[in-house]
Amino acid sequence: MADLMTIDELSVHYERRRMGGCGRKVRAVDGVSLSIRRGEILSVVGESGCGKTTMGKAILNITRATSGRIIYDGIDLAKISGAELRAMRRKFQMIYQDPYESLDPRQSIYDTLLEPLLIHRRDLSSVQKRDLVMSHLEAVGLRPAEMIAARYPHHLSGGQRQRVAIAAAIILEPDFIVADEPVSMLDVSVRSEILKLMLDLQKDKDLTYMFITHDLSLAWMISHRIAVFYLGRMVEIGGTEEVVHRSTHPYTNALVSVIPTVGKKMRGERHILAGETPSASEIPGGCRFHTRCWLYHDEGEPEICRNSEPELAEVADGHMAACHFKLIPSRDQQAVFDVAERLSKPAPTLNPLGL
Amino acid sequence: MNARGERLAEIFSRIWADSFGRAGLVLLTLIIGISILGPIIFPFDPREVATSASKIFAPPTAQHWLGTDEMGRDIFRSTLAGARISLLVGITASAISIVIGAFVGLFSGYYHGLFSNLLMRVTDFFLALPVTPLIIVLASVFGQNLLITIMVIGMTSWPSTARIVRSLVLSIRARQFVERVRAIGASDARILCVHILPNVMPLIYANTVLVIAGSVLAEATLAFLGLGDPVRVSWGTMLHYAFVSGAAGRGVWWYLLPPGIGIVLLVLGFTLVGNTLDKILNPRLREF
Ligand SMILES: Nc1ncnc2c1ncn2[C@@H]1O[C@H](COP(=O)(O)OP(=O)(O)OP(=O)(O)O)[C@@H](O)[C@H]1O
Ligand code: SF4
Ligand SMILES: [Mg+2]
Repeated sequence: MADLMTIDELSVHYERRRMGGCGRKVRAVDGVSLSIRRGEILSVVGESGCGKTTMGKAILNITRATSGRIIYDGIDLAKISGAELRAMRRKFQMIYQDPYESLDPRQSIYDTLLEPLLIHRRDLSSVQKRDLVMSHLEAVGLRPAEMIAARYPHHLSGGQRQRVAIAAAIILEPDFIVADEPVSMLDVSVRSEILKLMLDLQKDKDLTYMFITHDLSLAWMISHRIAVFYLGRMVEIGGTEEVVHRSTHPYTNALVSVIPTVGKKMRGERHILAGETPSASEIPGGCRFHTRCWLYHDEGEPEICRNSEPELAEVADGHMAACHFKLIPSRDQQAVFDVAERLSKPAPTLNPLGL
Repeated sequence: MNARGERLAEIFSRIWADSFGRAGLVLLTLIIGISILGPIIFPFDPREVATSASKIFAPPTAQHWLGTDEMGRDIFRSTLAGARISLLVGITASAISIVIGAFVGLFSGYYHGLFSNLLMRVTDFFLALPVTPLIIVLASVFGQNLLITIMVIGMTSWPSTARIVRSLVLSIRARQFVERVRAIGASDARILCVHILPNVMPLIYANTVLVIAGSVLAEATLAFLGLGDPVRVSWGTMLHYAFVSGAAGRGVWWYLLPPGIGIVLLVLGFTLVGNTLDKILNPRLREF
């Protein structure tokens, strides 16, 4: 699969001004490089506040990136003019978490769907535009389309609104959609319907999704690849099965161990994450995960974790993790360590080969 | 158009459902009705002055229902004529004020930049100024003329509108649907006209009605101080002449009460309707 979008060392820092003076820098996204392949569903997983939304918005140029490059289909988005960027926006769309906030309360559903066409499809006649609106309402399961079109957002349920938001996102036939926790605000009863709709559309329209979620088990169900984020950095990325069954980063491992169906099969103990996530304005030095890392603890709090930030390194084909101590992937997820990494350390506490 | 008509009817019925709103509607209907029909049925001719001393400051009689003034003119008829002028000034001055205020508020709330900051500084400057003395100074500099009065009131009363419109624009601008349409590729002009303005309109409507109340009062103040148009006599001008001619000292209550009560009821009517409208159209603002 070819890359649709390449993100290179993307950072988004906010200057958070405190009352009275000195601003603190919030490093919401902190040097992320990643490629999104055409036609895939890439899930971005991580706790609240780890910068998932910020990254999604920066990729779509909704939020300005502090540094880094975003290359979409060979075009560097920072290098094109404002007008060119606006014209390109039809190619990538966002679906928001809260369908109560993402629709204009004073715009009818018809006008909401018509708007993207008015901006980008001046070539169409008004009859053609109308037909497109109606057919997209039907495509997202809002029937009878005529009736729904005349309504306003406050007439609709959360699930229906999210369908409208989805229709508005796909009506321009984009290639790429960032879906920011599109079902987390919805009733449990409609979540699976919306997910199914999104997956069907992805197949029918050959879409590429970046699916943002804090729920690793949901990511596991729907995605081709998973990227795990912690405090603004990507700590692990790989194929879904790789990441879930052969998690290599202790953070991912802890997330996996609490998925009921996977966790049970793991022979080792479950790794419940201790403590609070540090704030994005006070990111710990060295490996930013060390304050909560069970492996760091098990390892006897090695200096390297406090002093140097681990880079992403390949652990298997297309599977990368950022930890000084690679967990050697094994089916049963026992903690086993890379021998080379441990040469300078005291006697290993675990069987180095894990077999 | 039909839907808009329905919505208007609904708003009226909701104002009517509120007891304060209903009182305001009754007052306004009455005064506006009087100001339109009154001078037609009972035309007022300021040149029709007294020919004998007994006709000066004459108390109410069957011929002069509200007595006569210092020149012997019919006070009932001049009160009817004054309603028109007071309303005219109030409404046109507010129109000017609202247009400026809404524009400044929209612009400075939506854009961040030098010009926008400058606009906000100007707004704050005007807000900090005591408006009544300012109006008095301006009116006395530019002269006594209805148009001048309207301009002076309109040009000085917009900052409060600008301020509340701006703060609403700031909050709407930060909402996700604005971000979503921007992400679709909507231009600033489109976002302002299609998404922000319609969401600000209810506030502007309610504010307009309240600003009229303020303008009526401002006009009355100016006219009372003798800065009104001597030819087109408003209720404020009537009060001015009543005091200048010593009507108060002589106990000529029939000269003071009609314009005085008229101003109070007119201001009250607009305030009641304005507050009710605000409550209906901007429910979230009620809590503050
Ligand atoms: N406009 C902003 N100004 C300052 N700080 C911000 C801004 N937007 C986000 N942040 C901060 O950046 C960090 C990342 O926020 P972000 O919303 O991207 O996280 P998230 O992973 O999407 O979280 P959630 O799961 O809660 O949606 C947070 O610490 C947040 O407080
Ligand atoms: S580098 Fe150290 S602290 Fe960081 S994840 Fe690996 S073991 Fe934990
Ligand atoms: Mg988020």
